[in-house]
Amino acid sequence: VIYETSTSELEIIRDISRTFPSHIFFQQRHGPGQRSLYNVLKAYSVYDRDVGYVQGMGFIAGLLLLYMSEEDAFWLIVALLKGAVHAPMEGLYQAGLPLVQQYLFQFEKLVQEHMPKLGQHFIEEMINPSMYASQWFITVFSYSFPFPMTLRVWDVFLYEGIKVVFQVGLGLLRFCHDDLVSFLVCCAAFATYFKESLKLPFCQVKLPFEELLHSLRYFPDEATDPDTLFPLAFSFKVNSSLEELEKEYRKRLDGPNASSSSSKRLLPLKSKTMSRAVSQVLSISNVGKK
Amino acid sequence: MASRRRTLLKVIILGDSGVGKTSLMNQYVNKKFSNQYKATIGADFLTKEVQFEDRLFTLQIWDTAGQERFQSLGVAFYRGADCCVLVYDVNSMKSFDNLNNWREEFLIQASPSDPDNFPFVLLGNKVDVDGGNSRVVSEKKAKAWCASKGNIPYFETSAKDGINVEEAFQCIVKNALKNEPEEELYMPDTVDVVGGNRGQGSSGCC
Repeated sequence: VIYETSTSELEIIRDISRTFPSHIFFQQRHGPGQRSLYNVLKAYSVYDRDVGYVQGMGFIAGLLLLYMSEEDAFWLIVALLKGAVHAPMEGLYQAGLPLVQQYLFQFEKLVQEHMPKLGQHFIEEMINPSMYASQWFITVFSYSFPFPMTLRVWDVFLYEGIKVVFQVGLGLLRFCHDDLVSFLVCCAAFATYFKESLKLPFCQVKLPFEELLHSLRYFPDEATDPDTLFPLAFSFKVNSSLEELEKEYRKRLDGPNASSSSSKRLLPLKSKTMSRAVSQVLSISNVGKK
Repeated sequence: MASRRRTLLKVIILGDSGVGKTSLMNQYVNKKFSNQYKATIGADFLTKEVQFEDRLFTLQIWDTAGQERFQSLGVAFYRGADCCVLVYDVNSMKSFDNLNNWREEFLIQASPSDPDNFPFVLLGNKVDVDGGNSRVVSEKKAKAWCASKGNIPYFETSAKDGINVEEAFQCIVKNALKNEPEEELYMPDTVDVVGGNRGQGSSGCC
């Protein structure tokens, strides 16, 4: 996979300097960090030509490269995307991003289930999780959160699977819940007041949307402190809901289209390397688990 | 709903990956340029209060991921857009050739009521690179394309040096406002009142 060429090469090169641009390991142009990143991403784009290279993979590969060799990082990505231990995640990157769509659907429902007030506000303000949470899933929180938090997410992620992304996402919303909701109430009240007194369809109703989305992109430092966030995140029990919601999602999907083209075409894996990747999965997840 | 659309202007920035969409948005909103932007995943979003002809507007700018595969996530942002900004890199023919796709994709996904007259603005970015020596798309060629699509306004910009960015966005605001002929027919009075009121009221809350 290192020697073959891939149609994604140019795309990968364009993004190399845009992956963790301020991290010292990846900062130097054509430095060892950037070279490794290129090698891993290109290798994967050759290994699975259907998926190729998709923006977002770079952050996962970059994170892994801080802890392991190129080869191990590559096989770990293979293990994650093809589903060596947990459910395969290649749907995050396949055409149409089917798994992202499913996760966002599930996440939206979970918000409604666990924080109905906030869920309702999101609906009223027409805030869709794709506006704030798609990068949470696509990069497993490695895109824009502080490293201490990202690493803790990954500890759990490698051990337990994607579930933790839902939990941490809910935890973040819960942490900011009162701010998000009360702000909305304040503005809504303001709007109602003006509507009645001036008989105007007053424009203030729109502001919450911007404020809300801003808050959903830039969480306060306290919110991303793992010691605060994780207990909150794990207070959400999501296992059974996730399963049910997945079924519901598939039903909806099959409704109009009626074609469940779940690509089961797993590429043959070298079992020895694979099991090494798996043990890697497990050993990393133990490191850092205090 | 009508009043909401009057004071809120929603703008979507589309174009190939790496042409400078994020940089343009940040140069316009924050007057800053950085060569440390991450590749945009999904979509990003900034707002700016703008004044146009004595009225205040909230400009909501959606910056999208340029990789084609992310278009499947686009629907939620595209809907209700008042103007679509297409960006290409004057040093990349491919990014120019793809403009047709971006435009069509937008029209399909956003399904505006009057697609033929929906306002687009085209920006040819990165004119600063290499003193213009690595440029492969001529201004003439870009203008010809704009003319063929119903006279799309065109600007040559440098997000890095801040060239033409302010001018381009003023044009974007103007065009975003043009998009609602039916409201302008029956709304002018109400709009003035809302506009006048908003000037005083907006600082109070939020």
